[in-house]
Order: sequence, then C-alpha cells, then structure tokens
Amino acid sequence: MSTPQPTQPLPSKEAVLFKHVLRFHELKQYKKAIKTADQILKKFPEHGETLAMKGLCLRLMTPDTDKEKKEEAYELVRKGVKCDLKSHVCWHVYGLLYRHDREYKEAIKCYLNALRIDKENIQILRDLALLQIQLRDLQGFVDTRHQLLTAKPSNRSHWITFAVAHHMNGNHDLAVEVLNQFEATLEEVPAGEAYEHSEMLLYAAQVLAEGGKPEEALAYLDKRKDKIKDKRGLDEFTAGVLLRVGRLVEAAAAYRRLLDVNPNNYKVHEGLRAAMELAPAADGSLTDAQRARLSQLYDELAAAFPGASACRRIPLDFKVGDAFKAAADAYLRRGLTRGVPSLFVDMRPLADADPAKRDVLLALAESYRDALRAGPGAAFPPLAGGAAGGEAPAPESPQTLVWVLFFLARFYDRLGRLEEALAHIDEALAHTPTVIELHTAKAKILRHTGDLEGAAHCAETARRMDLQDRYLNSLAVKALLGAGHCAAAERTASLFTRDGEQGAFTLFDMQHMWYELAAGRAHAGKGPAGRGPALKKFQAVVSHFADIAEDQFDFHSYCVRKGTLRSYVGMLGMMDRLYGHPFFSKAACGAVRVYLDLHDRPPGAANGADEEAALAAMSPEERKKYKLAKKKEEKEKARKAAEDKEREEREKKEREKAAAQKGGKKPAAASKREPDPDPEGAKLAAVADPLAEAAKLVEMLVKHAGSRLSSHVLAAEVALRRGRQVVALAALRNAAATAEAKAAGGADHPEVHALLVRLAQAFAASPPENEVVKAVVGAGLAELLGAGVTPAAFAGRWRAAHGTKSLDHRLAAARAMVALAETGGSAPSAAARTAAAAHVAAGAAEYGPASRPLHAQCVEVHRLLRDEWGVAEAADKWRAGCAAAYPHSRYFGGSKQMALDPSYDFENMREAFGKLSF
Amino acid sequence: MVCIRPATIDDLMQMQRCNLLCLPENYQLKYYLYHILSWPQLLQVAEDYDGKIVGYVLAKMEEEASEQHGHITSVAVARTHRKLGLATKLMSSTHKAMEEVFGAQYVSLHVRVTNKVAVHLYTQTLGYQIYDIEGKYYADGEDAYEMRKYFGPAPPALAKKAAALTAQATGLPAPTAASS
Repeated sequence: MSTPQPTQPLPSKEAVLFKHVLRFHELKQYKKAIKTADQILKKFPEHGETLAMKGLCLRLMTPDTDKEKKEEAYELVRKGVKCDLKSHVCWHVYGLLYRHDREYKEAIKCYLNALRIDKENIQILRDLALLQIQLRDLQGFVDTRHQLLTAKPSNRSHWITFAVAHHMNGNHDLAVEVLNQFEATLEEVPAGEAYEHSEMLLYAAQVLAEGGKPEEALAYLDKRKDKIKDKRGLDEFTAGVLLRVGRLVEAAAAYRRLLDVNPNNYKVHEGLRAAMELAPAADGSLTDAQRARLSQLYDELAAAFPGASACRRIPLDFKVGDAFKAAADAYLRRGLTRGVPSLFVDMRPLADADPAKRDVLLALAESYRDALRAGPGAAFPPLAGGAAGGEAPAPESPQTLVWVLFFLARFYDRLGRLEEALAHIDEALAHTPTVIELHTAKAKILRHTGDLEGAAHCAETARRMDLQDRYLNSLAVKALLGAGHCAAAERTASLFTRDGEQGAFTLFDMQHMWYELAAGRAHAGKGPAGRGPALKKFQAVVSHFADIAEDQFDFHSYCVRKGTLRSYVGMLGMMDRLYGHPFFSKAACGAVRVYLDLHDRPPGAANGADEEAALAAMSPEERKKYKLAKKKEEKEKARKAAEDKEREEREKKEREKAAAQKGGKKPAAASKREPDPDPEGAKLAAVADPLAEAAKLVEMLVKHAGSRLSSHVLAAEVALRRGRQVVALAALRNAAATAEAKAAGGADHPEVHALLVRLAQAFAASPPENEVVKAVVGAGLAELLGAGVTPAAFAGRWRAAHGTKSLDHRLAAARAMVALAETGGSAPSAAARTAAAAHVAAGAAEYGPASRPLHAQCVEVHRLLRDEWGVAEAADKWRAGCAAAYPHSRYFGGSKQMALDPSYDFENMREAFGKLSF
Repeated sequence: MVCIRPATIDDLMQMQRCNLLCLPENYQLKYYLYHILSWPQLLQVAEDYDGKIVGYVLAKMEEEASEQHGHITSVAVARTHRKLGLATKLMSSTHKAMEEVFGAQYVSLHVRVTNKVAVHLYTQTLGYQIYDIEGKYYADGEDAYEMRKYFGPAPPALAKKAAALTAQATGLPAPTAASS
C-alpha cells in the first residue's frame, strides 16, 4: 500500500512538531496540540494539515454552546483544506469535524474526497464504514467493508464485520458463507476467545434461521454444540426453531430443560404449551380436552417446582368455573397472609378480561373481609371447593385484614366504585396507619376522584414515612406534578440528585425521562406562563433520543471485538425503531401542542385583552382568587430571582475560595459547571417561528410513530396553520386510516372529523393559488365529504349522527361549529360560541359517578368553555355537572372535599422536607 | 405474575426507568447498552403482566482481574413488587450465567453499610459474605461492604476473615452452606 507524498512537506523540525500535534490530539491534550500547531504556523502560516489539526483540536475543546469558537474552528479547517486540497489528511480532518457535530452526510463527503487521494487508507475506510452503518447506508457499508477485508484479510474483525454487513443488507446466505470461510481459517480457538467464538456460532445459526433455513441452523449448531458456552441461549434458540419447524416433541424437551434453569420465565411456559399444542386458538378459546391436559401439566409442574410462583399463577389463566374459584381461593389466601402488595395488580388482568372471574375474585375477597372483621383470632372462611367438614382454617394475624382491605380498595377503584374504595382504604388506615402502601393507594384513589391536591398530600405523607426510599419519593413527585406543584416537585426530586439545588442538571444528565415528561405536562397545563418550562422538559427528552442514537457509534467496532454479534444486530434494530418509543412520541406531541399554542396565542400580543375577557367571564369569587394567585405568582418570581442571585454570588465566592486554596491552578471543581443559559425555557418559548419547530417534530412522529393517531392529527393541525392544504389532506387521510385500523371510526373519528371540517372550511375560504394543487385538494375533499356537500352540511350531518355519542364527539361537533363561524379569519360570533358551548355542556347532565369522562379532560373542557370561548353560562353548567359527577373534586368545588393538612404548603415550599445526603 | 427472564435490548429504557424510580445511583442509557453488548447473558429482568419492568439485575465480568469474576453493577425491585422473592430469583439467574457462560470463580458487589435489608438478603439468602469495607465508597461519603459469593470453595486465607467480618456486621453466624 502506498501513501501519497505530502504536497506541503515540512522541514524536519516542523515535521517532528506536527507528529507531536497528532500525538497530543490522540491523547486528548488539545491545548498542547494547539500550542504546538502554532509553533509550526508561525513559520508556515499556510500549512494546510497543521491548520486543519488546529481547527479540529479547537473544536474538540470548545463547548457546544460557544458558537463563535465553533465557527473559528470551522474557518481554520476550511482554510487548511483550501491551502492543501490534495491532502487526504486535511479532508479526513474536515470529515472528523463534521462527524463530531453529527453532520454525518457532510462527513461522508469529506471522507470520500480523502479516499480519492489515498485509496487504501485503512483508517479513513474504517471511519467511513462507521458512518455508513450509523446512517444505515447498507450497500455503501458492504462495499467499504469489502475493501477493508481485501486490504487486510488477516484481521479477524474484517471477516466478521463483512459478514454482519451482508446480513444487515439482507443477504443472509453470503453472511453465513463469509463466517464459514473465516471459521475454516481458524485452527484452534484459544481458551481466552472461547466465549467470542461461541457467540459467533450462535450468531451464524441465527442468520441461517432468519434467512429461511431453520433446519440448517439446527444442524449447524448440533455439529458445534460442544463449543457453545451459552447453553441456556442455545436451548432457547433451538426450542424456538424446533417449534417453528413443527418438531414438537423435541421442542417440548428443550423447553423443559429451560424450565429446569428458570421455572418463572413465562415465555418458556408459553413455548412449552405451544409445543404441546395447548396454546389457545386465535380468539383465545381452549377446548375442554386442552383444559384438562393443561391442568394435568400444571399439577405436574407445580409439584416439580414448588417454589415457582408461575406454576401457581398460570392455571388461573386457563381454569374456569369451580376449578378457577378453588385455585383463585388458594392463591389469594396465600398472597394476603403474606401481605404481598402486588396481589391486586397480579389479579387485575383476569378481572379486566373476564367478568365471571372478576365477580368470583371480588366475592372471595369480600368473604375474607367479612370473616376477618370479626376481630382478633378471626380466620378465613372454609376453602372454596374444600371437602365439607374439612379442617377449619387457622386464625389469621390481624395484619391479614389490612391486606384484604387494601386489595378490595384497589379492586373497587379499578371498577370505578370510588366511594367504596375510599371507605376501605380508610378502614385499613384506621387499623394500621403505619403501612406505607395504604397511603400510596389512597393517593391513587384520590387522583381518580379528581382530588389531585389530596392525592399529593397522601403521597407526601407516604414519602415522609421512609425518606430513604426513592420509590416513595418518585410517587410523591408524580403526585405533586399532577396537582400542578411543579417547583415543589422538582425540589423533592432533587433530594436524590448529587447537586441538590441544581438538581435539574442531574435529572437531565441521567436522562430522567418519566420525570421530564410528567413535568412537561404539568407545566403545559399552566397556560402561557408554563409554555417555556414545558418546552424545556419536552425538548430535553427529544435531545436524549438524539444522544441515544449517537451512543450506538462506539459499539459498531466494540461489539465485533467482543464477539457479541447477536446483541449487536439487536441493537441496530432497536436503534432503527428508537424514535417510535412512547417516550419520544409523548415528548414530541407535548412540544408540538405547546408550539401550536404559541402560534395561536403569541406571547405579548393582546395579553391584556385576553385577561380582561377571562376576568369578565369569571364569577366575583373567582376573580378575587385569580388576582390573589397572580399577586402570589409575582411575589414568588421576585423571591426566586433574589434567591438565584444570592446563590450565584455564593457559588462564585466558593469557586474563588476553592481556586485560591488550590493555588489558582484549577479555577473550579468539575461539578461547578456553567449555569444553564435558559433554565426556564424562555428562549425556547420565544422562538420566531413555532410552526417550523412543530413541523420538524411532526415529521419525526409521522415517520416513526405512524401507528399513533395523534401523529397524524398533529400533522394536520400544523399543516392547516401553515396553509399547506395538500399536506393537511394527506395527514387526514392517514389519520382516518389509522382510526380505521384501530376500529375507531375512520373518518368519523371525532378528532378527524373536526379537522376535516376545518380543512374544508379553509379550502372554501381561501383555496390554494396553484390550480393543480387546488384540484387535488378539491378532489380529495369531495371524496371525503361527498361531492357537492358544503362543509356546513357535512358537519350538520355528522353532528346529527354522532354528535352526542361521547364527550369527544360533543367536542368535535362543537369545534366544527366554531370553525364554520370563523369566516375569512374573523373571530367566531358570540352566538356560534354560545351554541357550541351549550352543545358540550349539555353532556354534563348525563354524567354520574358510574360513567363520566376523565377528570383531567373535564377540567380542560371547562377551561375551553370559560376562557377560550368565553361562555360563562355554559361553563357554569358544565362545572355544576362535573361537581356532581366528581364530588371530591376541588377544581369543580365538589361537596365531599377531604380536609388537608395545612402544614404541607406546596406552593410556598422553599425546601423539600427531609434533606438527604445524596 | 412476574416473569423472570434474560433482558433484551428493548428492555433497556424500561430498566433505566425502573432504576430512576427506585435507586439513588443512576446511569445513562449508554451504560446499560455497554453491559448488554458486553455480557448479554448477565442482565435479567422481572416483567409484569402489562410489560412493565419491575425489577432488574445489571451485571458485568471483571475481565482484567487475575481471577475471572462477576460483579453486580446494580439491582433493583420496585417497592410495589416486594415480598415476591424477585431479587433472589433475578440474582440467582445472573449467578448461574456468570458461572456457566463466563466461568466466573465468584461474584462481588458493593452495598451501603447502612442498608441492613440488602445485607441480610445477600448474606442469609444468597450466600454472600463480607470481604472488605471500602471507606467512603459512595458519593455522599458512606462506606461500602465489598461482598463476594464464591461459586466453589473460597480461598481459605480469605474465607476466615470474611466469616469474621460477616458475623460482626450481621450479628448472625454465617450460614454454613455458603455455596450456591
């Protein structure tokens, strides 16, 4: 291999210095690298490779936020390339620079330029291959890995990566062929590499099976089974393949071996049942003969694995009638006597899926309660299905009654019988107030009753009972957020972060996504003031996903070295699906909704008028409350600003002090990082074009979470606001198809319908100027609305057919009414708003404690009626209806509000109770 | 039901969530990736009916050491799923894999000296002993017990000291059958 001669050769002294620059870069000593580069540049200011290296090092030591320095780095590298266009080093460095900033496509271009000059440069080929697999340029990856293998066939990793490349590119046969060729070159596998080799063999078998050759895969492993270290993995793989090809007896034997290793793996149980032809039919049904064989099998397994809970629990799934009752009876007693807190969660799927089982479980638990309420020395009633005159059950400990009440409270809660749920949890609390689970359960029930403040109080009480338990801390944080106490929640969460007050940093660093999502939602619920903080949290989650996608970079070569190829291809698949993760969808949807709100109600514009209108719609008492809250908010803001300033000064002093103590060598400890330049997301909320930001996220949602209706609904919302009627039409078609696939009404789905009306209205008012586009949208609408049907007629017909089916339907019909009244961009008339609001509020009369929409949605609707549409009368009617349906609700002023402990003053909490030392 | 099974790559985000809910020591997702891409057999999860991860073990092999041994990086069980023996089941699965797949001589872990419940579980149920006390191991300055469980007989020179340390810390004589 020949390396091209440098086009700008340096004299020997500078040549040595340049080598030092490279070395310092490798060691990540960027300052030294730059100093050394400057020595060269003093004499040779136009030495391209030195300029490029200096630029790269400058970039690597510059924080991402320093735009100026970053630009300087790019200038240096560009100048370097310009000075020495024929240098592969310059182009390589340019590529590395782009790669550092995650501009992979640009980086690939640079590498390709470098390779034009130095065709066989192994390092650049490797870097190029990394980017190609990162970007899933699979054909390019195969080609580059082929070049690398040809250049250096002695390298083990070149063979293996080439095989992986073929596999990923869908060429399973070639992948196996390459692995076999490589295997043939091996003489003996050294003991130190036995694991890697074993993993490679399992990987090859997996590729064979995936490529449609299951029998070959089995034969392949059978021939090599002595070399497999992961026996459990081997059994799992073979069992699955045997089942697939219908070799059921062997499959069952393999699954039984797996049960010996771990009898609590439900997937293995499932495999065994399938191999014994005991799996339910597609509709979930079993024949009587199957049930009988299942009973026999599980009697046998329970005897073989007496400690395995799976063998006791699984029969509850397939048993019915009296057999179910007897099994459930024994199972429940065991759990209740032991005080297993998850017993209800364990039974919930049975109760949800089968009303008969639900009734049996509930009746059993109620019979225990009735028997145990008798007082000390009470025992369970005789066993269901037990022989008459059998031994009477022994007395239970008094604690058993507490767990029975706990179980029943959770059960009633699930059934929506909230008053009974509360009564039972209160009875348990009166019995033993020290059981923490009772408090957390009560918090949950109160949340369902609409008493979010009460829920926060109970969760906080539970937390204070064991401050070291982070799970209780997490529950309290969730409940505080649910009640809208965002600051208190963050302070409480920060008890478990190392930098205490600066907890948000650690929460972010640790990718604390459930917290960020919950906090984002809580802030978003606060109206305009919460938009910045909400965006901050939602965008934090979005950025975690970018970081995670980037994380895979280091593993492309690592896994080949480690031999863990099965896990590696698993990771590639997971990363391909990454943005489809619910955490991302939730964050992106949350952020898009805030951006839409920023567009609809821009900050600063006509806020005063909005407020006046809102005040006018309020009752005198509400107005007083509102003003008080506002005053408090301002006071809190001032206090926070003062606090921040004080803290800043204190920290500055500490930094100076620390610097002085260390003889001024290091200015600050690592933990004292730069403060967040936008801690409250004010800059995020001040974005010039919120719709452009929303469009970026919507594009990701549609691409990666296309099975979620909200992805398409939001796509349509954004497109409508941007005046892109074709895009909106396509989004609505997708939305209708998604709703159809979920059996949720297709184009008649309420959200889809309301958007269709808006699109039709927009098209009627201002059709696209381009004639072709206009024709496309017109034809699409005609298809969806019916030819010649006006938007008003379309909406009227839908309202008559569906408009009162549920709250969602009522809302859709009402939104359509308002949209139709928004002619030519003018605000809808008061009459239209009043009619729409009345249509929604009329629903409230139908709600009672047994059937009602979620409390959170009721609150949202109330705000819509009162604030957005400004219809006080309908809002009051709605509130009265909801207060009756939710008698514990504080928001609606229900009649049964629980008394609160005034010492838990969450809004004015300066410090969370119970400082920890973490 | 709670299913005990080896973790897959798709479990990692849920494991991270479970960790953040339960424990003060947290890690970025990349650290979980590092574990599963290095020693895929050593990660175990407890999965609830609805697919939620309610417990996990994150473990590794110490490959630089003279004796091949495993190390428990992190183990957690959600408070809602206590009293089911999940920690024991998860740990046992990991132990088995360490021994069988990687030929580990022993497994080690660190635990806060004040965490009585965990120390009790490790010594009384899982057969660990205390081999050393590491001063100020945790970021908040708390000491850690360095605990080990030998899959075969422990080296006699170490075993004696360990038995004494363990008895002293727990106030209980070590169970005689310490292995497996």
